[in-house]
Order: sequence, then structure tokens, then C-alpha cells
Amino acid sequence: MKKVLSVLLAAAAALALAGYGGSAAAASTAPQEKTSLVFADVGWDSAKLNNALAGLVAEEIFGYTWEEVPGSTPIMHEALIKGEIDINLEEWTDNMPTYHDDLAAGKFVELGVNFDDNYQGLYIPRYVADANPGLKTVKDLADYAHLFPDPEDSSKGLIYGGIPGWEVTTIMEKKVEAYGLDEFYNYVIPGSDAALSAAMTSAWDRQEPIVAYYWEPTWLLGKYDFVLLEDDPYNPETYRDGIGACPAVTVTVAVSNDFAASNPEYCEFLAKFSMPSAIISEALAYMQDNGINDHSQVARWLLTEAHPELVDQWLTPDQAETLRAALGGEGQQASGGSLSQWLFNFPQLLTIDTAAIDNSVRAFAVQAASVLDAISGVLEWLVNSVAWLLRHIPWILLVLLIFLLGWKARRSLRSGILYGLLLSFIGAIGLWDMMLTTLSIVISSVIIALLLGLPVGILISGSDRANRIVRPILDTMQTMPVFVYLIPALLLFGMGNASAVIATVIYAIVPVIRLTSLGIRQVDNEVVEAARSFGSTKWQSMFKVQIPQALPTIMTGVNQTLMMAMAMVVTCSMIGARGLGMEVLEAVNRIEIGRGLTAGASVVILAVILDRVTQGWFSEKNGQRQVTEPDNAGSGGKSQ
Amino acid sequence: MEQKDIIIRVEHVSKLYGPNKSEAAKMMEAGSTKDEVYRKTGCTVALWDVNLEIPRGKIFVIIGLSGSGKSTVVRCFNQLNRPTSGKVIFDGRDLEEMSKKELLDFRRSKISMVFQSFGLMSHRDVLGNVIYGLEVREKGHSAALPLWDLLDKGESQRRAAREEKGMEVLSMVGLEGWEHKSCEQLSGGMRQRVGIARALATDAEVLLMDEPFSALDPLVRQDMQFELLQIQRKLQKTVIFITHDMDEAFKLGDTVAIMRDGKVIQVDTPEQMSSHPADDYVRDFIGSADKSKVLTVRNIMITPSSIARLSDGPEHAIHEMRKNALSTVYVVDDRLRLAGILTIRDAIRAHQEGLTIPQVIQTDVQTTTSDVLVADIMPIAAEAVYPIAVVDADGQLQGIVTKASVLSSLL
Repeated sequence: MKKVLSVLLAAAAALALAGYGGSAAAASTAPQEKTSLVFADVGWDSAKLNNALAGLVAEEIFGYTWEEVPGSTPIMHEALIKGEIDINLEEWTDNMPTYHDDLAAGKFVELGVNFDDNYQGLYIPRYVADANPGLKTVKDLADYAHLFPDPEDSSKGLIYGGIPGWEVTTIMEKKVEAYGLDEFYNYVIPGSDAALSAAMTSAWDRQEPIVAYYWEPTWLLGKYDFVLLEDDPYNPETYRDGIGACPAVTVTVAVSNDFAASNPEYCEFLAKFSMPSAIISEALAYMQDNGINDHSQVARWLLTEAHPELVDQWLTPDQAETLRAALGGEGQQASGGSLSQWLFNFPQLLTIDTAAIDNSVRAFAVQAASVLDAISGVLEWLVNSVAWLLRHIPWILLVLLIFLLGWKARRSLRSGILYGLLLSFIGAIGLWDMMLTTLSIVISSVIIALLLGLPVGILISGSDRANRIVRPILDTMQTMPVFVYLIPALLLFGMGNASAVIATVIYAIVPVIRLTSLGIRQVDNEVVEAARSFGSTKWQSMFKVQIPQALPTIMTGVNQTLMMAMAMVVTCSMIGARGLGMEVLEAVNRIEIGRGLTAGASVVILAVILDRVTQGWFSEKNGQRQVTEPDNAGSGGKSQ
Repeated sequence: MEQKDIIIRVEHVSKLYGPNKSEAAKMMEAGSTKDEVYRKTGCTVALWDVNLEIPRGKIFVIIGLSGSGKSTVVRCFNQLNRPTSGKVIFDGRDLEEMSKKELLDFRRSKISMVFQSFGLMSHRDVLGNVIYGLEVREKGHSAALPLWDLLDKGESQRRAAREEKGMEVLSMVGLEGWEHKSCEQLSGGMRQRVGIARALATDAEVLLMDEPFSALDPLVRQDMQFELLQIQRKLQKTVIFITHDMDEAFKLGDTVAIMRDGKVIQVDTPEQMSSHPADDYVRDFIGSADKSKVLTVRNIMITPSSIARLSDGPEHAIHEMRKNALSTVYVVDDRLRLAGILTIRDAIRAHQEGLTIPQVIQTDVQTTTSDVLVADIMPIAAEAVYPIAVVDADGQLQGIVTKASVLSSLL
């Protein structure tokens, strides 16, 4: 009885669906065709180009609309499994630890191989290869460590590793160990694709040596002549331990289960879709050279001028004809402009030559290299000194110090014990060293921020004109998305601590400037008048009266700056700052929630301890303990 | 007044804030009011054509309501404000012509200031505040950073000398033993003592006091006024004292200048000013400021709750006093004329010894009439043991004035 009922219900539902679909004949279980497609945008150019190509076909042949959703490789993979993304044209199978398991479990559908002719491994620029004919293989690197010095460790060279969270990043690290290169080199993870490519282009611009992991197909390798260091032949047994060359990664086209069911015809096209690495690199370099930002434009160029044969490979003859006609008749579409179109699409009047800005920044990085290097050298030295100092304090002493500071600052034994325990917790879960690294960047950044911020705050407190000039700059520093200056900082000052300190200072200096200025402006006018009336010079009244009077507010600013520096250090791992932030970033990129959480919690603990200890200390030093005395001044005075 | 007695001369000083100063000045010359000028030009006239002569070694009081320009003018004396036009001449020197350094020296040694809200530096203790003026005038302290003072060799001796001077003036204002307390721990009165000590420490000839006692409660204020007078008599300082309180002005001032809307209306001795006010504004100001000069005894007298007659027996008088909880009662004759005062002690004595009331009453009673000003009976009331009897021309008792009602009438 029950069974009959459920069958009936299912049939009714199917009928209803079919009714909406408008085709009674297709009243099977096939779900409704999707007409707005969601592509995965895993962040790099080749993926965007592939999306644009497939999107062009979707628009012109199938009449679909399409959009891209950005996210990192693992996030996009998860989204595909959940059906939030319909299509991922670049599933880097070897970079996704769970790819094969998920595929076997039927969590998504693999339609075909997009490309598998790509290389990845350690690259050096052509001019380095030419200058050093002996440097041909990865193993040769052992003799050339002096070419690639690590600014943070003068005793070793530096190998730029892969992107945090990619499987190959770990493989490369193992390779460095397996080949004994770790004796000569530090293996540094640059934090993000942008950071890595910035490091490589800036090295290229300056014609400096660099050795870095990179992969094809990318605009970078399409545009710059980098040479892949040879390795032992690929061995499927050992390459995961770092021995032997990496295989060319198979990059597949994958769709969600739902989409495979709903849009079989489009999936048929996707199954045939493939883009050789060489063509991708060619197209990306074309974009870079011509300053084109619109991938769709390049997609059209590819299919009409550069490689029209792709159309025939991917599509049935009928479809190919339709597409050619559509691409050829492109001009007619633009003329359909009407009033409503004009009203609702803001007309673009200005084209900012962003390429010129890119070029000038990069040219500046080359021209001012000696100054920039000196600055970054000083910053590196500062961070390294602080780190050296921190590492030479036995952990037990540091915990004791925090306990004592907490006890004194909060005037409560319980707080002291709590802070000591919390700090020990970071050590106990094995993040002590990372915490010290983070702390040394934070401390260095705060030192620089105070050295610059306090004088500026004092300056603008006394001059309305300076205040008018500085205020919009401060607003910009506070609201400008950090990534905007993160990458230029990296171009100018190199990857790692120097850039991290500079970005952190930009972000964290604002409160100390604002509150110093505010504190000084808020000093009771009569007190300032009193100082002047006794013949104080400007300096005397500033340093003997105004600043001491403003000290509580200034210290609030210092505390705020410290907190913001702490927050920024995590972001700075994107440009290769090591420490807790890098741990968070790696964990997040691999969707290792637990690891992310423990590292994140350590950041929070460190921030809370720093906040409470400094705050308590400041308020104890400056808090005026109010002892209310009975008003016996009158009688006291009279009695004498 | 002779020329040499004048220490500061203020000549045609005007102070204008805002745009269009010259246009505003023209309007003021044409006789426009401050408000008209502001509406028309947006320029605030804080002072207009102020002329003053401050005699040396006296207390010169400037009085006016808030916004009258009294604080502005006093700040012209030490150039915290620079006049828009006009001259301030100190001992023959035009302050405007002083160089930056001369001005600093002038402020450091010739003139000092006491502020309404004390202007104390909360990061320094009492002594640290007092010696501030001494500190800034020393060479080493012209350096920017406090840290540099530590490197200065003779600093510790000089510091000791400064602190000695500081202790001296602190004892003058009655604050010995408080020198290392934080200013936050002091009451208002004590803080202002610190302010005064700080101003005295530099041995400046001229003390500018900008409403120094306005933030204090009345009792403390009276103490401070008294002490200021003592200090002034002892040190013969020239004091320029700002207030909005007429009583304070008359009590302290050798000369009083009254200001309104940025102009000086009258400069005179307190006696001259109260007897010959320059205009109605001054008269009103004096009147409103001092009720005791307006109120008469009639306004404050009360009807006694009980009286006795000469013909009454002592027992009756005792009964009356007990019933009304009194310790004294006025005695009148049969025409209600005041005969004297009977205390409960005398009444009991009369009862015990069999005497009559006329035999025991006191007849030397303080009396007054109902049309007398309250101000005039104030000294009598302050000392009277018994309530004051109010009698008419015939000597009939009209009422009594208690000490409480006299003193409270001023509130």
C-alpha cells in the first residue's frame, strides 16, 4: 500500500515538473535544464580564460548566461561537490589530496581532461641559466646557494616554495630534504600565488637570481623566459616523497552531479573541451602584453584569429557554424543601444591606464633598488634581532614574565596565572616557535609604527594645516583594502618580513597618530595657557605639559596599534610572513579546520595577553588614583 | 595719579575675532553694537577701545558678566592674547614690540597668572607644579626632551634650589606637608592655593588672577579672599583680579573696573562706584550683586512667638517660655513699648527669690528700626547674643530679627 502511494506521488511530482518544462514527452526523471551556469574561478588566469571560452560557447550556442564564483582550489572543490558550483574547468587532480577518493565516491562527475601537458617544478630565469651553465638540475642547486641568498638568514640560500595548501608544496619541501638541499637552503612558502609571481617578476625586472616553484600554464611562464631545472625521471612510486620529477598534473574538467544530469548536451561539449598548455600560455602572454583585462575578449581572439581550429575540435559541425557566424557578426550587437540601456548602464568615459601604473611601480622598484634594499635590510635586521632576542629567552622565563606582568598589570594573582597558562598552552600545542616569529614581526612593526606615528601625531596636533593634509591620508590607510598595498610592498621590498612589517605599519600606525593628536588637543586649555603664561617655549610646553597630560590617551593609541599589528600579521602571511599566520593560511587552504582553529586560537590568546598586559600597565602608570580628601583646606590654611 | 605709580597702561586696546576686522572696526567706530557688528560681518568684538591704568602694588579688580571681555583683556597683559589694535605698556615697554625671547623672559619673571579651574598639571605633584615656572626659565630646560635634563650636571643643585623656593611659597599658602601629594588628591580650595603658590614662586611683580575663586564654594572662597589680602599686604604685589561677583570686587579691590560688551564702563574705587554709579547698568549690577544693600529690616523681621508684660508674674513668664521653647522673652510695658529682655535664668531666680520681672530684666537691649538696611545691621547681628528687637519711633516693639534671618537673607 505504502509503496503504491509513493510511486503515485513520484509520478505526480514528475508530471508537475514536466508541465513546467513545457514538454510532456520528456516526462522522465531528468531534471530541468540549467540556463545560468556557475563556473569555478580558482584565482589564476588560465582558469579565467577557460571559463571565458566555455562561457562564450554557452552564450552563443546554448543561449545560457554564466558567472564565475571566486575561491581557492579546495574551496571550489568542496563547492562543486555540494552543487554550489556547476563547472570547474581546472581540477588540478594532484594538488587536491582528496580528488581521487571523491571521484571514486561519486561525489562529482569528471568529464574529461582539459590538459595534461603542463610542467611544474623549480624554475630559474634564463639569464641565470645562461650565466651558470653548470646549473642544470635540481641537485645542482647544492653548489649555487650563494646565488640565491635568504635575506633573513645569511648562512643559507632561499628556495621559493609552492602555494600553501597545495599538495605539491609539501612534495617540493620533501624534495629539498631528500636531495640534501636543506643544508644550503631555506624552503620558504610565499603565502599566495600573487606573492610568488610578484617575487618572480620583481626578480626578473631587476635581473636578480631567483629559484622558485612554478607551474604551467600561466601567463608568467608564457611571458618570461624561465627555465625548468631538470630532475630525475618521473617515478610514480617515489615522486610523492620528493624523489624524481613531478608528473605533469592532469587537469580535468569536472561538473557537479546535478549539472551532469540536467545539462547533458552542454556536458558533451565540455567533455571535448581541452586547451593545450602552450595555447593557454600564448593567450595569457597576449593579454599581458596588450594590457587586456577582459578574458572574454581574448577568448574571441583565440577562437577567431589565433586558433580557430579549436572550434571544430570542441563542437559538432552545426554548432561550429553557429559559433563562427555569431563571432563574425559581433559588430551588430553593439548597435542595439537604446535609451534604457544608456540609463541603466553607466557609460564608461575614462579608461585608466592601469598598465602604465604597473610598469611605473615596477620600473621604480628597479631604479630605486639600492634604497629599497637598504630599507628592507634594516627592517629584516630589526625583525631578526627581535626574533634572536626572543629565542634566547628560555620559554620558562617568558611564561614567568607574562605571569608577573599579568599579575602586576591587572593587580590580580588569578589574571597572572591565567595569562601564564594561556601562553603555555600555545607552547604545549607545539606552536611556540611560530608564536615567537609572529611576536617578533609584531614587536618590530609596533616599534616602527611608534617611531613614525608619535612624531606625526604630535605634529598634526599643533597644526590645523598639517592635520588637514594628513587626515585623508590616514583615512586612506585605514580603509584601503590591505591586498592593494600588500603586493606592491612585496614588489618593492621583497617577500617576507620587510614587506610584512611595512604593510603592518601602514595598517596599524593610524590609531597611534590619531590618538596622540587627539590626546594633545584634548589637554585642558587652561593647563596649556598656564604653561605658556610662565614663559614656556613651544617645546617646553609640548614635552613638559601637553604630552605628559595626554599620555593616557596616547597609550590607548599605542595599545590599539599593537592590536591592529597583531591582526595584520595573519594577513601578512599572504606575502610570506612566517609564523602563526602562515599556519592559519596553510590550514585554511587545505580545509583543515582543526589545524586552523588551533593556530587561530593561538593568535587570539597572544593578542589577548598583549592587550591586557599593556593596557593594565598603561592604566596603572597613568591612572590617577583618586583619593577623596575631606575639604579641610580652608581650616588647614587658616590655622597657620 | 602720578605717572610712576602706574605699572601697566592699556591704551585703546581692541580685540576682534573672525573675518572682516577692518569693516567691523569701522562699524564699531560709527557706534554700532557688538551684536549688530557680528550679524553684519561675522566678526566678534571681544574688546573695544579699552583704556586702563593699573596702579603698582594695589589690587585692581575687573568685573563684568561672562562675555564682557574681562578674561580677554587680562590675557593681553601677558600676551596670551595679542590685541588687534592698541598698546599694552608695562613699565614703559610696549609688549607688542618685544621680541619672542623678551616676551618669554617677561612672562618668566615679571608676570604670572592664576586660573579659574586652577590649570594644574596632573602629572606633577604639588611641588612640581609650584616650581614649574622656575624650571622653564632655566637654561638646561629650554632643551626639548625632559630626558636631557638628567644629563645636565648642575641640575641636581639647581633642582634643590627650586624646591626650596617652592617649599617657601607653599608654606605661605598653608600647604606644608602636601608638597608630594598628587593634585588630584586636593580639594578645590587647596588646588587654588597651589595655583597661587605657583604664581608667587617666580617672584613676579604682577599677579593676574582670572576668576580664581569662582569655582570654590562660598565658605572656602571667603577664606581665600582673606588670605589673598594678607599675602598682598605682605608682598605688595600688583594684583589684577577678575571676578563676576560684586561683593568680591568691593571686598578686594582698591580700584574696580566694570566692563560690558568689551568696553570699560567705569573705573573707580568701590566707595565712589557705589555712591556714584556711572549709569543704570552699573547701578543694577551693584544692586543685584548685593541684596543686603537693598533689603531692609522690615523684609526680614518676624513677630515674636511670645512676649511678657512688666506686670506679669515670673511664673507666667516661665510658663510662656516653656510653652514656646524659648530661653529668652521680650518684655513690654502696657503700651507695648519695649522694656527689656528676660532670660529664663533670671525668671527662675525671680521665682525662687520672690522678685518681680522689672527687678530682673536686662534693659540694655540692641534695637533697630524697620527701615534700616540689612547690610547695616549685619555687624550687630553677627555679634548679638539675643535676637535684635525692632522698634518704632515711639519705642513700641514691632518684631524681632534673628541672627539666622539676617545672614540667610543674603542667599
